[in-house]
Amino acid sequence: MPARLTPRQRAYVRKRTIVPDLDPSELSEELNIVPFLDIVVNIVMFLLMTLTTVAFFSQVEAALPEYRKGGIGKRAAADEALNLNVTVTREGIVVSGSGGKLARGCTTTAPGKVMTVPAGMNGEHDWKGLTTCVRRVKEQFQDESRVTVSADPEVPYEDLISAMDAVRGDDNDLFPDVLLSAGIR
Amino acid sequence: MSYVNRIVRAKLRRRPEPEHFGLNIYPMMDMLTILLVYMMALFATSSAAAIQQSSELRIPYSTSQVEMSEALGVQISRSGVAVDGKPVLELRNGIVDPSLKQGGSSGFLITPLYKTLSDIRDRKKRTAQKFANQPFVGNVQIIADKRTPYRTLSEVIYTLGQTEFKNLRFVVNKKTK
Repeated sequence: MPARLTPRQRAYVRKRTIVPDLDPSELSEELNIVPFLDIVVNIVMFLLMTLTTVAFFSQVEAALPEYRKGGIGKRAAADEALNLNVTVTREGIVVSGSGGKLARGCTTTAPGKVMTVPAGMNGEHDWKGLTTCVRRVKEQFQDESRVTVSADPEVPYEDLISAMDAVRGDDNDLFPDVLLSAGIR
Repeated sequence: MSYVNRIVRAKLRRRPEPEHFGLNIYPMMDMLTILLVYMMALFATSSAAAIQQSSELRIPYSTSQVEMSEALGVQISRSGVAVDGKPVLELRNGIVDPSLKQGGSSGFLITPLYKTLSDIRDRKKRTAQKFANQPFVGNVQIIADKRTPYRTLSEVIYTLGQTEFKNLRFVVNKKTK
């Protein structure tokens, strides 16, 4: 027959049989890797965001004109070449070749100061007009792929890139081999 | 007291074993670690990670889809020119000080830039002599502010040409068609 417990004995039993409220990771007696996981997730997030920024960059390729010693045969070949030049100025874009400067419309040449693709009223350049112009040139010189791009000293770099985009065409189908000249006229 | 201890032991025996109901996150940690290592390796080979746009350096947009490749980086901001991240000369509103050019205001060769680029070219050529798989090809990556005047750009390009860096790659923001 069990004896009745005194209050002191009941308190002792309660104290000895209490169940501690432990963390699951403590119960399994393993290393708590959750803080480490938090750090790794944060680093991955940061790298993913930076990677998106990197993916937005591309590059435009160009080269410098080369100085070559010319012979009689080479000179004759050079005379037959198109030697397409595109010069960006504040007033507009001048397109020229071995035959001279192209007039507006890009079908005939014209002497003197000519703007092949004049700038708009606010000074903005007509890049689509330049693409249309060089496309007409390309139709007559299908084998040519080289163009020399230059600009006036005060023209911003942004306009140079736009000119290179315009002469290259949407699918690199016009004049993808771009040379840069110093722009001295 | 032995009776009380017996009660304690009986109660402890009756207590159920704690259940392991936590989610197993080890596979997830493995996956994240592999992802982290891959991305760090990717960044180690990407030169574009170093490009930070600011009010001093705004890169123009282009329709070009050519992917970035490894080359010597020349950065032209509104306030200066840097080669491989090291400042070489200062600019005033994107203009080179005439005293820094050979021939003054009408000159094209930027003397401090020429010296720096010549050193790099010589070093690269020495490396090319030792390692046949690393030939000197003269590739250079130009990261320029879109407001940079063409005069400044042509001076930098002329100086690059004089130091045999002839293959120019202009870094641009990719424009969606």
